[in-house]
Amino acid sequence: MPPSLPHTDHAPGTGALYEEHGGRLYRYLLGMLGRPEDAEDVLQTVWSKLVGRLDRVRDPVAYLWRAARNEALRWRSGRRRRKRHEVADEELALFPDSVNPEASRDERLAITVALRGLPFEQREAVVLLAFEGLTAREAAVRLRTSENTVASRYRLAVAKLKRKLNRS
Amino acid sequence: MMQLPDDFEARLRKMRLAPPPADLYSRRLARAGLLAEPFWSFRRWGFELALAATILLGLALGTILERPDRPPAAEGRTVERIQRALEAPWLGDEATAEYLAHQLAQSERLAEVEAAKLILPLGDSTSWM
Repeated sequence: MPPSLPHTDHAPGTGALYEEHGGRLYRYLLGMLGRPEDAEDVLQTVWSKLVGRLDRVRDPVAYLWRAARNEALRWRSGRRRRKRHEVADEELALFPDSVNPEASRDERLAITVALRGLPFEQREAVVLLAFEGLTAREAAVRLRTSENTVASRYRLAVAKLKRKLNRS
Repeated sequence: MMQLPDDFEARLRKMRLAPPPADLYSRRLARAGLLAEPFWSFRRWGFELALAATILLGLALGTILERPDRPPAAEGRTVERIQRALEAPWLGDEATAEYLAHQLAQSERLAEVEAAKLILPLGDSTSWM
């Protein structure tokens, strides 16, 4: 049985909800989809769904994460394959210099390309554990799975990333 | 070929994804709730409907208030009496009666009636005035 997020008795205002969770949700979607415009579109879709049924949703935060994940999966499956030259633009958006002053451009580009080759679930483990700094337990709550599953996906993902980067 | 650092995982954990644009909420999410409503929902169009109703009400009130004043009730009754009298059989001149009735309807002013009295040979039949 996966752990659950703390339950709130009443739905907070959507402005406050965004203040608290919007940034992390956006980064999760950016990490999963790779492009800022895609992350914005999906976040808007998810937000619209939540606000439209806010009075019926028992736990808005859990709903947001579940809806964001489902929508990201749907979005990825319906998206065309990106061409090689588009990856450079994506890299600039995914890991900008402004928040990664220590990483070189090559490093940021290489990690972006390697991330693209990971399966969806392994990629989200890297996004949440490595880039967002969540613990395996915190990530498990958001993904509605077990802590062990998240940790296992993460270990596999890191091993794959190492192999890919060694080959590149 | 990229040289991976020994502490690759630690480097990976230092990478940070781009933050959301500062105006993301106001630009795309603030109205998201309204857009999520069904097309014919009152919550979606409530403001526009209220605005349209207010404008229509204002126009209707303006039209009513701008209408010319009706003659006072007493004057209205007088005109009615004149019209009835002009149609009386003893007057005998149907064309003139029609003309006067028309003039009364047009002006609704008693001055016209006074003028009519000068023109018509009304005689004793004006006692009703």
